[in-house]
Amino acid sequence: MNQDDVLKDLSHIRSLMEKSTKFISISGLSGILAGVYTLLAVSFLCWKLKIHGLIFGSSSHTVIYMDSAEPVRIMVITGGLLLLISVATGVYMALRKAEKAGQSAWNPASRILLVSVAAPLLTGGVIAVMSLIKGYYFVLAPCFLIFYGLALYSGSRVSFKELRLLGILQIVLGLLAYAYMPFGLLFFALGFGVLHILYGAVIIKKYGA
Amino acid sequence: MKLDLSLYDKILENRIRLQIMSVLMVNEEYDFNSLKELLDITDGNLASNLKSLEKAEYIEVIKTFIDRKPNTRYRGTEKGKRAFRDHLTALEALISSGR
Repeated sequence: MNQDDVLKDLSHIRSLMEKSTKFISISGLSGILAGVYTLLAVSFLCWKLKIHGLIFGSSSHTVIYMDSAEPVRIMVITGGLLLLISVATGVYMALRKAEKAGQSAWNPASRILLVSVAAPLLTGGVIAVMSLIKGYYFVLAPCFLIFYGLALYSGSRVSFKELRLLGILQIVLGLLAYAYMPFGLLFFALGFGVLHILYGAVIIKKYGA
Repeated sequence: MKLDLSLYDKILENRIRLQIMSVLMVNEEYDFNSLKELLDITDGNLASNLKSLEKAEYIEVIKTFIDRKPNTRYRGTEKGKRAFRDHLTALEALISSGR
C-alpha cells in the first residue's frame, strides 16, 4: 500500500462521510424561483388589495380593513398557491438534481431532513390555521417566517450549512414582523422573496447549479 | 523513524470495509440498500464485507420488517469505532513518515 493510495482512500472516506450525512440535492435555482414567485404574489396582493407601501391601510384602520372577508380570501388563496407552487418546484428540482448525480433523493439523509423540519413546520401550520379561524390575520406573516426559519435552522444539520444562516435571518425577520405587525407583508417579501433569491444565488455560485 | 503499525487494522485494510465503517462512524445506523447505493457496489460484494465486519464484532446487525419486507440495518459497535480511529491514526502516521 503506497502513500498515494492511502491519500486517495482518506479523501474518499471524507466524501462518503459527507455524502451519507448530508442531503445536498436542494437546488439553488428553486430558491431563486420561490423568491421570484413570492415577489410576484406580493405585488399582486398590493395591486389587488390596494395596499400602498406594503402597509395594510393606515395603521389606525388596519383591523377594520382586514375585517371584510374578501381581502382575507384573496390573501389566503394567493398565499396557499404560492406555498404549493414553491414546494412543488423545490421538490421537483431536488429530485432532478439527485437523478443527475445518480443518487436517489430518498436516502437516510433526506429522511432525517424531513423529520427535523416536520416538527416546526407542523406546529407553525397549526398556529397559522388557528390564527385564520380566530381572525388574527396579522399573525400569519410573522408566524410563517418564524416557523419556516426554525425548520431551516434544524434542517441545516443534514444539508448545506448556509441553510442555518438563512433560517436565523428568517426568524429575525419574523420577530420584526411580529413587532411591527402592519408591515407583515413587507417582511414576508423580504424573507420569503429577497432572502430566497440571495440564498439561491449563493448556493449556485458556491456549489454549482 | 521506525513506523508503529500496531494500530494498523488488517480487517480495515480492505477498502470497502473501511468505507462501510466510515459511513457508520457518522450515522447512527444505515440500511443495506442505502449502503449499496452509496458505495455503488454489488449485493454480494457488500454482503460479504458486512459479514466479515460482523464477525469481527465491528458492526451489529438489526433485522426488522417494514411492510413485511425485510429491512436490514447496520450499526457500528464501540469496538469497531475504536478500530476505525486507530486505523486512521496508523494511516496518518504512514503518510507523514513519507514526507
